[in-house]
Amino acid sequence: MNRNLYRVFLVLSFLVLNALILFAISSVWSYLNTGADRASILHLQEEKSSTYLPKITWDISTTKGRPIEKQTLSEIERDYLRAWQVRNIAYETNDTYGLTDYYTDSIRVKISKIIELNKTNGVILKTTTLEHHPKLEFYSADGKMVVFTDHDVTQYEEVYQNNIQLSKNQHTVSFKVILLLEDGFWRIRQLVEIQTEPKIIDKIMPKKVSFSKLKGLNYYPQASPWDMFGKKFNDSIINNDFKLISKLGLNTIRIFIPYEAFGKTTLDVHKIEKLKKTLDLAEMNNLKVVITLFDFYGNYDIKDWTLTNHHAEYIVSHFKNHSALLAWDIKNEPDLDFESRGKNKVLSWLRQTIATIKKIDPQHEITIGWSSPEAAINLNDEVDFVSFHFYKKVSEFSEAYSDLKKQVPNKPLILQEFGYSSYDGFWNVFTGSEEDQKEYMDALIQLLNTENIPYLFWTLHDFEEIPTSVVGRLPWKKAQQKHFGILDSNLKPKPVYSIFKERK
Amino acid sequence: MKNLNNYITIYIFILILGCSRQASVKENDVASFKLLSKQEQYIAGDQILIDFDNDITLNTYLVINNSLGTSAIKPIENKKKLSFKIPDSYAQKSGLCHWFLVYNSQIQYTGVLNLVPNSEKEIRLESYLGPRSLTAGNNDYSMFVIIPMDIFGNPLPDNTSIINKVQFENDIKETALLTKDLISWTNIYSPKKSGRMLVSATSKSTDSKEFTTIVFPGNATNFEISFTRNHKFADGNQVITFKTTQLKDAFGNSISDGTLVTFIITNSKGVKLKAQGTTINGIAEARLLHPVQKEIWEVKAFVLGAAESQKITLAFEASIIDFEINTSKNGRTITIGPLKGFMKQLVPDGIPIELKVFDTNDKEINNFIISSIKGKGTFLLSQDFFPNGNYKIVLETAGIIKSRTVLLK
Repeated sequence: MNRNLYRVFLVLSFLVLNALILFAISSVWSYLNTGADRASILHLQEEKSSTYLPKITWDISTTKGRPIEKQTLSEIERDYLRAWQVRNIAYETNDTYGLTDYYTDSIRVKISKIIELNKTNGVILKTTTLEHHPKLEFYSADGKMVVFTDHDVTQYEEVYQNNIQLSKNQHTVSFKVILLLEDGFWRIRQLVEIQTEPKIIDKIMPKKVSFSKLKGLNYYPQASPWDMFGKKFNDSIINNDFKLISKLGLNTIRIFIPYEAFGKTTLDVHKIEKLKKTLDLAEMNNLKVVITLFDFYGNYDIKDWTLTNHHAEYIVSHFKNHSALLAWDIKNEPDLDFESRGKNKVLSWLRQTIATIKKIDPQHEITIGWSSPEAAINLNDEVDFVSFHFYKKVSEFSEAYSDLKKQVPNKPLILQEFGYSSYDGFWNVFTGSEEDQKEYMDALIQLLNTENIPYLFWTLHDFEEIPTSVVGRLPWKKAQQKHFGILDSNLKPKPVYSIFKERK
Repeated sequence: MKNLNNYITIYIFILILGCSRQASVKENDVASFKLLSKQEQYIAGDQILIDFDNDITLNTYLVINNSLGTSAIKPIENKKKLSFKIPDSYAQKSGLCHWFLVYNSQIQYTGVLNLVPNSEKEIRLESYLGPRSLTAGNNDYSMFVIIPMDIFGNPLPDNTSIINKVQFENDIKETALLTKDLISWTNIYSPKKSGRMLVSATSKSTDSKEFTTIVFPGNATNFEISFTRNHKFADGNQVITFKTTQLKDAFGNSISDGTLVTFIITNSKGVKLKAQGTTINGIAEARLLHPVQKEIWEVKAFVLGAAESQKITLAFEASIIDFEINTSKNGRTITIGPLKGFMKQLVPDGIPIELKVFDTNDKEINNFIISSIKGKGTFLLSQDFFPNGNYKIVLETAGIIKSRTVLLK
């Protein structure tokens, strides 16, 4: 017996030992196979993505000396903007790295002195320029010098001393600039700030949205929630959904443009095409659309501003004349990023994004989809109407709403998201039900109707898959999120559906 | 227990201290500042002080910003006043300089200084001239750009006057220029003559460095050619020299050395020969060997894409008028010569002699080319290739053709 046990033990330990050895070898093997991609030996050209894209418009109508070539102008633009970029970085890090390529010696010495001064004082700058309007004054016959006046440069700057923000400031300045072509780089030789002539801009007021009858929902197709313009995009499904929405007596939908999925600064033309199709379908079905930009965006860094502006400019200028468009929603629930990114940083970004979009499309109203009535006080001066979301108890709504109304008396308020999950299962100990959902929605909508508050509810369908980026990994949160629809995932009406049916 | 009480007291004390410090900062938030220094115009390099009638120095900063950058500075000691000294890197830079008085991270006061360049002291001229080579003839120009600057490198304001000087041979021209958009510039057109042109500028007793532009002659215009040769005979040995007249541009400047001139020669069979030469002092030469037979050449020269010469015709007379053919007894050794030139002299070695062998049906079997040595040429018709029998042989040299029938044995 003892001997048998001994044998078993020997055999088992042998097997375990072998398994361990195999595991060790495979670990070493896989470790040796990690690291740099082998193709990197070849030093193939890397694709560079843009990191600094302020809006720049050239005026070359009165250039003296010699007419400029398109190619040269684009080289000048590239090097001039990089000069700004390396300087912005130099002042943020107090390191002169990169200045040599874009500034001639004498000016570089001057900038280095300022950097030295800031270093001793513990000062750093976070700065960016959002717009440039250079007017080319002179281009020399040998093609080695240009002089231009950079009018109305919108510059944003935050000054920090020992990590405490001293000031933030956005101002418009103009410069006279001389660039020299030296060993292939257009370098700044002179940069002199001049008086900016005050400009009189006719203020265009946005078309007022008639909010009183605004009723609608937040829309995602059933099969592709949070990925509406991806591979599963199907215009006939969307058309059917829109027909149904219209039949339910609703007149508005809210859709989302994910920042990264739309290609950030190099916008994906196919997705733009799909967005256009969606707007066309909405128009066909007499629906108005609130477009929420920058979904899933969460950086807000000053260095990112020119990039997000570029993105917004493309989309906004593309669709600003579409008759289905109702308003621009800058971002969904940005207050949820206050904690992780810093409230000031988020608000600064929102403020400048509003200004940018206003400039491109003064015709449409702008809002921000705050996650709660309490958060909706932020930037209420900047937006044209205030949007907030509400997922708490019906009984708490009136108070929260009247608080907000008291603080923002002069702007329309719109309940942009609300809903109730009919989830009934393991994670909530089978306490939910579709009846509860109907009850909640019925109560809240009646309240909204009596108070005459425009609303968009969440949402048309139940969803089967919730991307992790929406509510996180936790299964009980995902399970909740799946059941907010008025139709279930088989497109069968849930009890709550009848509320809308009756209103037909 | 008493110990613990002590600790609690200390703890509470610290807590209160911590809070009170916070509170004191809040209190000061409402401090008022009044600007004492009203001056807004300065000359670059001036000492600039910005004073306020307050003496809170804690958490007070002046943020200054100009075209080159932004800094935050702390006040300097100054009795009863809040005083900021603008650092040199800002005080020496012309243009606008913005400042913001910041107290507890709040902007309390803002202002703008206008710094003008310091044009009283010595000024500097930064100048650029390009392109540095021109072609003569009033069409081409180089551009002269001058940036007048003060001692700190700030460009002087618009309408600063500058004298531009251009020297060419005995002529010195002065032009008055005014700056605009930081620079002044002018086009300097090339004179009709080639040579060196010196350019400089002066502003307020400061002189720029000297620039040189070389004025090259323009393109050649049509020219003439001639030839020289030792004799007129086609001896295949002498060299004929073609020569151009002096090539000139439209303004009479001798064209640049090294310009390539191509001579194209067409012989009486229509074959084209080519000889090239480059110019020195406007004259190009090219050489060619005499032909070996009577020829008429037509010669024309070109500067490609620019100019051409007239056409000249020249004739070569035959140097060898006749030759003798001797065959050996078995007919297999054929000797030509002696070949004699125009003075009955033996021709120099190297005159080509061609032999063609035909069979009785006039079909060409073979041909040989040799060069004459000491006036003679010898062919050997080997038995291995030419079996015994009758053949027709044709001999040609210096354009003279003779034929024979030989019996090879």
